[in-house]
Amino acid sequence: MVNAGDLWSGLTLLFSFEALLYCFIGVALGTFVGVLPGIGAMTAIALLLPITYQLEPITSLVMLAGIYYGTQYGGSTASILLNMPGTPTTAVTCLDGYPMMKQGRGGVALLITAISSFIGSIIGTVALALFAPPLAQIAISFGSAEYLSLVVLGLLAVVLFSEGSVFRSLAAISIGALLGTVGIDINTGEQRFTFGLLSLYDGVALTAVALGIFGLAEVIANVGQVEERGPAQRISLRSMLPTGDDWPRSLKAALRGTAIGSFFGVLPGAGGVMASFMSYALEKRVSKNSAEFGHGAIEGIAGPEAANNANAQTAFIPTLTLGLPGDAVMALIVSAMMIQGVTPGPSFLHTNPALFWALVFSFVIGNAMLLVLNIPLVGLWVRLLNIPYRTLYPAIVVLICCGIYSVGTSVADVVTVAVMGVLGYGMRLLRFAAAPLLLGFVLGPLMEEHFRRALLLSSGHLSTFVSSWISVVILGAVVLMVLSVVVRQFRSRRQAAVGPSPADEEL
Amino acid sequence: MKTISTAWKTLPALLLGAGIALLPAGAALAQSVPDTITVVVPYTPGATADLNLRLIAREVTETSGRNVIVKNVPGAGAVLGAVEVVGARPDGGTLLLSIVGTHVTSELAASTPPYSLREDFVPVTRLWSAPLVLAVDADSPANSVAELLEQGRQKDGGLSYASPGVNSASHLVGIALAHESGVPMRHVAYQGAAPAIVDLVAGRVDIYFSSYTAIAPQVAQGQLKVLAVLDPSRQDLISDIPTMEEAGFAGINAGIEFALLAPAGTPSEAVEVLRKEFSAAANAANVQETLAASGDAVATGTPEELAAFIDAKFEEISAILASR
Repeated sequence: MVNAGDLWSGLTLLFSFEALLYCFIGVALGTFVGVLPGIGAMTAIALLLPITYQLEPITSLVMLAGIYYGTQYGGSTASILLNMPGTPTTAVTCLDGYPMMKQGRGGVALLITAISSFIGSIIGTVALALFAPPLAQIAISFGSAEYLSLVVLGLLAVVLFSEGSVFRSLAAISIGALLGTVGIDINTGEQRFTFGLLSLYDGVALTAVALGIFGLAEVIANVGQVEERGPAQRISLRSMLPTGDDWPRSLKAALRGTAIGSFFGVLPGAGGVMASFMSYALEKRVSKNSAEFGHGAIEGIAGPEAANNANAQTAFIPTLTLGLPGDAVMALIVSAMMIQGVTPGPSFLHTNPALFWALVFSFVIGNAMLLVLNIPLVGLWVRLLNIPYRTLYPAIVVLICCGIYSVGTSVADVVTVAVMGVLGYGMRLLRFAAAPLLLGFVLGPLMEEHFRRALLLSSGHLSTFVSSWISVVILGAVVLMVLSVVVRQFRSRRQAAVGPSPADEEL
Repeated sequence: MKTISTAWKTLPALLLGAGIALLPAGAALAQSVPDTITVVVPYTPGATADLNLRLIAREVTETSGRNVIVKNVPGAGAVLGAVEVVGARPDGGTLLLSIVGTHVTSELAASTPPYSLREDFVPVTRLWSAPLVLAVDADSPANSVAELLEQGRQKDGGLSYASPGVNSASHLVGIALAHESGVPMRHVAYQGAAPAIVDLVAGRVDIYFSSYTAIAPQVAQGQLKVLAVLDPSRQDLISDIPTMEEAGFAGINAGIEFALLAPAGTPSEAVEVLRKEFSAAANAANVQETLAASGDAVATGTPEELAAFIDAKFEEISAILASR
């Protein structure tokens, strides 16, 4: 139960000048680093880790956490303005954000993503504050069988509801999954597709793939294009404001995205990529204007943005209560905590209530700071577009190279970006969507790991996948989803065969 | 005659001058180890290995004044860090913190080993070790090793045991126990300790051979229980837990042993200086106390002892891998 004394000690712990200052530094740095394609939270946190050794636990935690969720605000900026994801979780925002920018609604897109991110973060923080222990229980009850069902749901959702041919999506996902197998196999220790290279031992880097497929491919595609640009755009505050039904549409999408993101954040390993993709798929499915998706539908950016921010906040639940970091960046934060002498885990809430509540309050304050920071910056970012492309794109390529190198100090990663860039460009020419490849890259290895582990644990009995109610519910949703698509296809084919009905003609 | 007397007068000055000139050379000989040394830790920052080493490094800096930098090079199952040290200059300026068992296993299990522990490295000293314990879910009906193994015999498919990765100490000891007891045991690999512990708490996997530190919070909360300690003698921290020897399996001991290695070619004076400094630091009272609080035991020794230990490890692990 929430103890008022703990809340108060948390507040007093946070409200010191040092802690608040570092909170601001953290979120500002996070936003900035999120905007730059290539450099992400990983780099920033790894670089600042040694500094945190000298700081108080609360100060260093607040700063690192600020960087973590701050990047989710900034990542969409590059996605919208340049069609390059600032972080892998904002790759989905490219799909509708960039078309909006091309329609002159870039300012609106940036504003909506900032607000959706805020909504997602705040609600996610409330979930963390009030429901951390029961939500942690959910994380525990998700075993490999349940994870597998969830991954299958995610993959099918994206396949069935993505743009273009289903077969093309499936092909892209498969290529991504194949790429994901590179590295050491968890169960046997065998090296797969590493060609003896130590740099491929741990697999291909996710950031490298995301940057290459989206970022570098975009640069390559624009090389040689004659720059068509109207007179320099004057961005007034008025033009940034969303119009008409933008507000209700994006608000509803943001709330749905928050629910999805909060759920996936609680499951360590599920990840922000999956959350944002699922939110996009859901928005497309429930929207009345689903034809607009891919051409500037505002729900297509509001939902995923809220999702990845809610994900970033609730990801602290398994981290703090179970000691289970959801991804590599969170693992770094756990390292920083342990160096400070704070051990996340089941006893964390009991032994460090003040620290927990100080952190929760810092999330609220940090997100407020981010909103205040990001909205005026919208005008600045849009003005960036007035830089001629022949200067902008080389600068971006340099940034991408520096960024990806800084993550693992490995030249192999930079080469990966180059190879992925060429691959991504090729895919564009053949009209394959790049987003499913990224999803396949993330979910394919997850699917393999959990499928094999579930069977190992159950001594080979396939019944393990339907033996828990969670698994059954999720698989049931999968079946319903497939059925709904099949029925719709069937109906539309019948319609075409029969010809327009008299009722249609009257209209 | 005048020149001779001048020469006699200048001779003492010359000798004195020569002596003074040679002094720095004498000091240079003692300077066989650079002022700043780097210890490569092949794990992510914040891992227990990392924390303990940082403690020792701080102690070395305080007592000897030498600047010790800890460099984390995680990846490839501790192989990347090892490879980095192999390529470093053998002037005593770079050391590797090694979990001996892991590095031996990585070398033996690989078809083309990326390094040779006995040829590419020079042993410096052992530092500390932590025994593994046999942990099961608190809801498990077994309360002793014997009961657990009996269950395994009754169950279809035997027992499942988790490990933080293939070829880890937890994995190998499972193979050894399956061989000794005749109970079939299925190895389930996870990416690191944390997911393994969650599955153990949830009861999805039967056993986890873990260091005590990793599961101490869960044991305190009553989510897990420890059935045995894989060490010849009982541990002070958990003195009511019997040893595997008492449970009837004298040969099943496993622990995680940490040692310092230097790249091959490092001169023996440098090795001796480093050994002295790091051993002294590891045996310092505050270091021993902190390590003991988490169940680790400081165990330093000479380079020869470490070399013998590495040879023994090679034999032991070859035998286990062959029995698979």
